[in-house]
Amino acid sequence: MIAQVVFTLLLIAVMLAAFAQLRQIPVVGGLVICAALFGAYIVWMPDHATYLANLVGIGRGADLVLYVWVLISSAILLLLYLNLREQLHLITALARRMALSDVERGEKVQAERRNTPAK
Amino acid sequence: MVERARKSDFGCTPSSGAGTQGNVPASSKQVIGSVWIVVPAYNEQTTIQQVVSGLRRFCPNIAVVDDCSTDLTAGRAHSAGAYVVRHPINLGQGASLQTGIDFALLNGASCIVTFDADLQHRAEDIPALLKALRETGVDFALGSRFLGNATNIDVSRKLLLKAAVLFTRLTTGLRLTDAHNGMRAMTRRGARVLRIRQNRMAHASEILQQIAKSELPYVEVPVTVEYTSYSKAKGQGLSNSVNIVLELLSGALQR
Repeated sequence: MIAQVVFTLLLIAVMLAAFAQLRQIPVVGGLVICAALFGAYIVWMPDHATYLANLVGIGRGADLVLYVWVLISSAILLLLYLNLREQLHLITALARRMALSDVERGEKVQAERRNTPAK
Repeated sequence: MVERARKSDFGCTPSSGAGTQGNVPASSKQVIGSVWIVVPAYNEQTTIQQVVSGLRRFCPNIAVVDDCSTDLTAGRAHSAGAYVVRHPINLGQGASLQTGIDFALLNGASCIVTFDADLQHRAEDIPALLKALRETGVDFALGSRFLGNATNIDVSRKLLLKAAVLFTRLTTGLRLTDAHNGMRAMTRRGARVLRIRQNRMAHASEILQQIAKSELPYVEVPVTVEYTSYSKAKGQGLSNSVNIVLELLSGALQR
């Protein structure tokens, strides 16, 4: 029972993290949520895990749990990678703005120099 | 101080006050009817001067986007008469192209040409691209080395490029003969449709995806690509093409 509660809390945390990313990264976020829901299902219905494992050609329910866990971990890694890419887009936009405003600032300085009468 | 031609031989007018002082435009006022050439560059100190000088025979408005080079690229581009926009950090060729396009649009470009800095393109092909835009009324004129010439091209590179053409046809529906040519021209309307998010080398495929999505008309124009040992060393290999596919897949998952 304790293990089930701990795993469920962990899976809820995973689902919340994926839900927060759902707007930016819908496909992977949705995949993580589905995998976590399935994980919660087999945590509370271990008998079904064996039945489902047999159904998809996996020998034991424990193996199915392991595979689902690997799937969730991989999806989380992908989610993190895509999140990093999103951050990179923001950095790119910032760097671009800086590059363009540097040109504009240089232009203003040069215009001021031209307008300043020589002493 | 750089002396600039007032009007080139194919109707390319300089931006207002362009080139009177250093590497910045003397005015940010929008000028209708000007052509801008965008050259993304990263550590191209050995070629950039020759590239800019060659381009300035045809057009005075050259924007070199220096992608935080660690060599003398920016200074040499500047002294050759280009406007230099410098990224504060290295972002990649795709990001440089978008920065150059934004810079050109801010300066009132009516047409924008993209051109590589590794001497594999010929400035003499630019008039044909602009003529195609003007006479056919399309928004994109895409250079094709397979309609024109590809000198000293390796068999492996040719196969890779043909695979890219097939990939483009399958993913975008565009029927092109050359999918990864850095030489292209676009109208202002076309340039405003593009929003390059692939910072690195996947930008060429992304541009084609956006052209297909926009449904704006395009045409292919024969151009010459001259492969040298320098441009081959700078170019893309097989490993890069795997990265490109992965980047495109990641980009697709993000939207």
